[in-house]
Amino acid sequence: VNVQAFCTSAKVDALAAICSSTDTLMAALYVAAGSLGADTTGYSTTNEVVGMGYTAGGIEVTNVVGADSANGVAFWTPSAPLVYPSVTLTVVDTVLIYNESQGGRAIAVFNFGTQSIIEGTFTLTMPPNDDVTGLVRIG
Amino acid sequence: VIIRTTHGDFDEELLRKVEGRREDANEIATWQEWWLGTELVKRDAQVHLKSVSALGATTRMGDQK
Repeated sequence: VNVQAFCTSAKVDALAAICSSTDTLMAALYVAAGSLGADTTGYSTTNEVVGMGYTAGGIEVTNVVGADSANGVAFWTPSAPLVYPSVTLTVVDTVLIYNESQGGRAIAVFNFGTQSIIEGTFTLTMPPNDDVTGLVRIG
Repeated sequence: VIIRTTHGDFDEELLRKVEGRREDANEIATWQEWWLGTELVKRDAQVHLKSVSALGATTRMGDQK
């Protein structure tokens, strides 16, 4: 029996193309007044947070485990938490993960409850990298 | 323990520590605050992201008859 499908291998290839472990991926933080979302196409300094200890563009994403698949779902997750040490940041509520090696091309936007950090460390931890909880999935 | 605050290095025992937690569909967040009297002098936060980017990809080659 033949079954119409978007092939799982193609899903993995699509993720691998934008999250390649040979590329430099970055994670930039944005203030709650921003308007990032599905229509975001790339990194921009508009509404990027400004504060002590934070450099425009954000931090590099640890990416040593490439896209994978299970049960017909392709998935990818950063290989380590995103850690912004010794910062003072106000009303941050979004992180943009983007591919610096591909001209700042946007990969994903993650929104969370507003946080302010004072002379502290801001840590974004990752879910298990699998077909159910992986941070970026194509199902 | 000496920690870094808005007033420089400070003995943590001289500060009041407050911890919080919030969970919703997108995240689990925890934070720690250190207060000097009524002044917030240090705040750390941790956000555990949940998968929010799942896509429903499909194929379509014309209407089914």
